[in-house]
Amino acid sequence: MTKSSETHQESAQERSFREAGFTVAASTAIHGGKVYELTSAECAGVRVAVLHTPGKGLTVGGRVELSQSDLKGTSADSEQALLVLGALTAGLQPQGIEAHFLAGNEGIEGLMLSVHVCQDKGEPEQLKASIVKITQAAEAVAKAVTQRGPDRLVAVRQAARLAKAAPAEVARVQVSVAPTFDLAARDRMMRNTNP
Amino acid sequence: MPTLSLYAFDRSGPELAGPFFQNHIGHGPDNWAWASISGLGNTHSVLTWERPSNEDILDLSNVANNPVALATIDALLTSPASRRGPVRTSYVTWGNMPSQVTGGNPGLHQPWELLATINIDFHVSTPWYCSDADGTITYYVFFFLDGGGNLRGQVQGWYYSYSGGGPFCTGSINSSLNSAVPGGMASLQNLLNTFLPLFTAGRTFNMLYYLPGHGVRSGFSSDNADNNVALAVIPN
Repeated sequence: MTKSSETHQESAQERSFREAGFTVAASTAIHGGKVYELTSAECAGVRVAVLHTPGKGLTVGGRVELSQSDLKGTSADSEQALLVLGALTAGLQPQGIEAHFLAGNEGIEGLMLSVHVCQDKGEPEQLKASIVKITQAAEAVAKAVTQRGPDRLVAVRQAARLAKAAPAEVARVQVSVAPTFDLAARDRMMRNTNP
Repeated sequence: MPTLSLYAFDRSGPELAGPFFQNHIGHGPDNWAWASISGLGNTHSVLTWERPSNEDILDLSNVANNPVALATIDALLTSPASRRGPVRTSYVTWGNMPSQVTGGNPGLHQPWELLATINIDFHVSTPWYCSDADGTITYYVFFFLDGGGNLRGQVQGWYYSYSGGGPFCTGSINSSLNSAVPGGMASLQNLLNTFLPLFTAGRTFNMLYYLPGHGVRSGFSSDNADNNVALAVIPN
């Protein structure tokens, strides 16, 4: 790992990350390029790493933790793991996102979702859009892989779908009764409406 | 007559909708009744409702698939996109809605408040070099009673997801959907503003709740609350 010092001069790549709203937490030179670990509120708890390969562009990766999934610790060659990887690949391909299992000495530890950005430095807005794309996909997949049995493949396939939504931008309304299956809310409503 | 309704769901809570069995027993006022469903291998939650005789039902799937509503909905999708199958209705808690919808205004609802979903399944035909795409557009509608007991409905968000479209066509599919789907909120709100007064007919209400299925009040049957739900109201 390269040491940062008080006199470290920000590289063009690091400036690009900063302009996109991300902080470089660490960087590591590897064969052919450099890996940057980024942090930001945009990362929403997903660990983000960006590989810069001069002349070949950037690869943005987001790590999905499997701590709540029974896939953790299994072999990357197991039937379940391959089925999940297949479902992810089929679902994420149209978005240009790839999925890889991350395995350690004791089996699968996590998943890495990655997308390639062709430009060498990456315009800040394009970089930010790629990172948001990866973190949103990673969040959805992390939830889906906690399911078990046949439900998991359905959930993974659903989570890998290309999706978009808009935030609800409506004014709060004065509500007297709202539908719910919540027991505490039911008790309150019964106290208010029953004699 | 009042009705005791029993619902048995595959999923772990009624708020998660999904497949269910139902049994309904009408009974005299202040009289007794019981209902049972047996031999269900995949039940993980049960709901019972004691439904008064003056309950009125708004079958949301029935409404969403009437010709006027379908004409409005179909107008949102232009070739090569088209609706696939009937419009489906369901419900979801605010807490279980996509964060892309709730994140912009997280305090808008309590996590346990239910919103109706209007689900439009669609298909997009693509050129030979791309896979066709299949997906769902969802509009979120909050039905509630205001302080005066008036039934109101507010369209509060949209979401779409699809699979396919690769390797080259997702950009143009996204562009078409991003253009069409947000505008559907106003169209849907106009439909609600027109239709709800016809249903309420000047009445006010003291209670409203969702029922899985079409809101039937007799017999034994199965249905799927991912596809059909009804809004029940009790008039003053």
